[in-house]
Amino acid sequence: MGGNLMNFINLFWMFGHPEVYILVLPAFGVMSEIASTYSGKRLYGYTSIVAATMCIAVLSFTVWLHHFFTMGQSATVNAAFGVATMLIAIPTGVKIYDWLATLWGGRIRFTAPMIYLCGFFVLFTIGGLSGVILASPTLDYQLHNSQFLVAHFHNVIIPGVLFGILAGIHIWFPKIYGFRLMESLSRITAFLWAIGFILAFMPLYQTGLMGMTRRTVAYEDPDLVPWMIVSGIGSLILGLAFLSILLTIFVSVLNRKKLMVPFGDPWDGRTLEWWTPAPTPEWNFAVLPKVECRDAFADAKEKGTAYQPIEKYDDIEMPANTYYGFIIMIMASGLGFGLVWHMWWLAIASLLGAIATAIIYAFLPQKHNIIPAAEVREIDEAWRRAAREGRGVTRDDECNAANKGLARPDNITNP
Amino acid sequence: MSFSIRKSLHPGLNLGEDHGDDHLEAETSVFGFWVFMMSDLVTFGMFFAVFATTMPLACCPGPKELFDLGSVAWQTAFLLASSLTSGMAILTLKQEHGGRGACTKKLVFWLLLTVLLGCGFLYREISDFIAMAAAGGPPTRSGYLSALWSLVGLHGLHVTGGIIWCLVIVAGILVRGVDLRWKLTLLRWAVFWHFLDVVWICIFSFVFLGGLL
Amino acid sequence: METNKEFRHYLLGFVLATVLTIIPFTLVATVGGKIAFFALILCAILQLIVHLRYFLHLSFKGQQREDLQLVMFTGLILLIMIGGTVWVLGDLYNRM
Repeated sequence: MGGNLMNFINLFWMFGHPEVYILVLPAFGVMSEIASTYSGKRLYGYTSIVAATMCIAVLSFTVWLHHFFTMGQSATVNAAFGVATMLIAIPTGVKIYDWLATLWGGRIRFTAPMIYLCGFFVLFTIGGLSGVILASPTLDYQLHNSQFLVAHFHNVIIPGVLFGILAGIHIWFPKIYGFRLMESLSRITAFLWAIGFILAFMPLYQTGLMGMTRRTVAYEDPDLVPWMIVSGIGSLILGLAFLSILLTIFVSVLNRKKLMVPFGDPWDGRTLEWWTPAPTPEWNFAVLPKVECRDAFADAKEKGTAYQPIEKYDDIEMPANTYYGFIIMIMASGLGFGLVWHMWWLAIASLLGAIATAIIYAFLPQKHNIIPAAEVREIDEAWRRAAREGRGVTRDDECNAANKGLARPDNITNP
Repeated sequence: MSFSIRKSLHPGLNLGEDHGDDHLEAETSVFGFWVFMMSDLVTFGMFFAVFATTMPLACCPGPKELFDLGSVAWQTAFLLASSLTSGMAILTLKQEHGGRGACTKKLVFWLLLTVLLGCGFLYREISDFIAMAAAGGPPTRSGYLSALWSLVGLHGLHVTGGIIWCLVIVAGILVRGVDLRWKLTLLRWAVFWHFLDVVWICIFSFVFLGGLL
Repeated sequence: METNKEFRHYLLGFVLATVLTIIPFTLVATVGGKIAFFALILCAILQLIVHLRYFLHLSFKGQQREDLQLVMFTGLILLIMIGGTVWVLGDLYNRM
């Protein structure tokens, strides 16, 4: 008569497992940026990184059953999904080696993002390897639902996703707001994250192997106590790391005059987004840059053509702001809330409201703001002239007040 | 334009080269909608998968007691015919070059005919649902029936959405004329409408005909 | 001229789809059994191709490939997920 409850678990993880790869995808992108920018080299093995990403895109849909090896299906099914899971380690390994190879022989600076990257190399790899252990169905019968699992997924998500996000904030903060974050405080934050993570989660591998289950509120085994104390100290350090982020931003805002990077290229960037002033004007590029190779901006700087004057500027058409999307978002939230709590009046009203809003918007005339070419010319020409006349800083002064976002070549030859 | 506009990405579901810049906009717009459509297809696929896992429970009442082959044939005919009429609407759009040309009336005619056929489909489908519930097969009866109602009902909801969407387009064309925004909307709607028929092929083949075998 | 060609294209698709619909309905109503089952699957797949080819205009030629690759990738993902679900749940069903 009824259906099969296990089908819910099956459907959930069919979504849930590809989802964790989607989670780490942007962080991997940040790692690629760090490796090439902070070693002053082109990304090694770009093609193989793309191929590895595509391999993972397909493989990620073939492994979901490893979340429920113990559900009762036959050994053949478990074995197939176990093998598929172990295969994921291969393309991920390719990426790690590509990033390592990018660093080799480069002009490496141990700034905060590089600390995150090094932490990522070591810790993420350990997390990945414990994943390969969990991928074995026989071992999983022991480790399923234990603290070992908790240690594993924090071990990939914190050094993978979180380190990527934190490093990304440090890198692109000046692009958005026009001033850098305090380098010294950012480095302390990075170390606090790495040390706090190691102390908080590494002991859980041990307690998991000792038989402690996840989501345990109270336990009687005294052997677990020392491990849990270490883990507790680790989580206090992670708390400090959180506070340290807030402190970094607070102190940086106070010192923003000293940290300004109006030229927009504080890290000797290689990709297009650094080819604009900081903060970036609303039209981004006054004239669309011509891209003829990978790392087009680095190429232009090498040739000395990055800040050449532009002859012809055009009017720029920008779509006008609209609040209709925001209204639909509010209604969609109302729909979700109503459905979850069985408030049918709210669900129906929000659904109809959202549809009506979309239809009304479809009938409104679309507005555009035109930014006149003269205004664009004035701002863009001033920036280019100042960049041509400015001296800039080498990477030795990257973290000093002298860094105004204009990079000067280091004259170090790459291997 | 630096690239050739002679080569079109979506030869049927497109505006044609003499629409100039509008044609170029349509290329990206329609491709983006394809990506969305594929995610919708995955959703349908999962409903099919769940339905397939409940097949062993299809009894008492099962397909033999609940399905009306004649009605399913009618629904199929309605939807297939509406696919053709929506195709005719797109062909008419290609001859329409903005504003209120001679083809606007023809375009509105094909769209309203499509809506009418869609309503015919919905009428038969809802009658079937009512008959099924009366014959002792409401969705709460068994896992099989829950999956059946969800899958077929989801498709019915999509058809309802498609009809509302089409009516909005007709109203828009009558109010503002065939401008770029309505042209692009019409192309996306056409992809959506053809896809509903594609999903229906799977439903009538595997749910209804497969169930009766 | 161009429009005429496209019109014939749509019409041909419609005729093919109609034929591929009538065959399985007739077989299920009259013959039944294994033959009807396999004919059903074959007709469904053929009709899917007809719709993609004649109504949605997918083909291997030139840039239209991008759409086809999108559809084929989704098809692969669907095959893995539907096949996997049926395999896993079927296995559980047999062991219950």
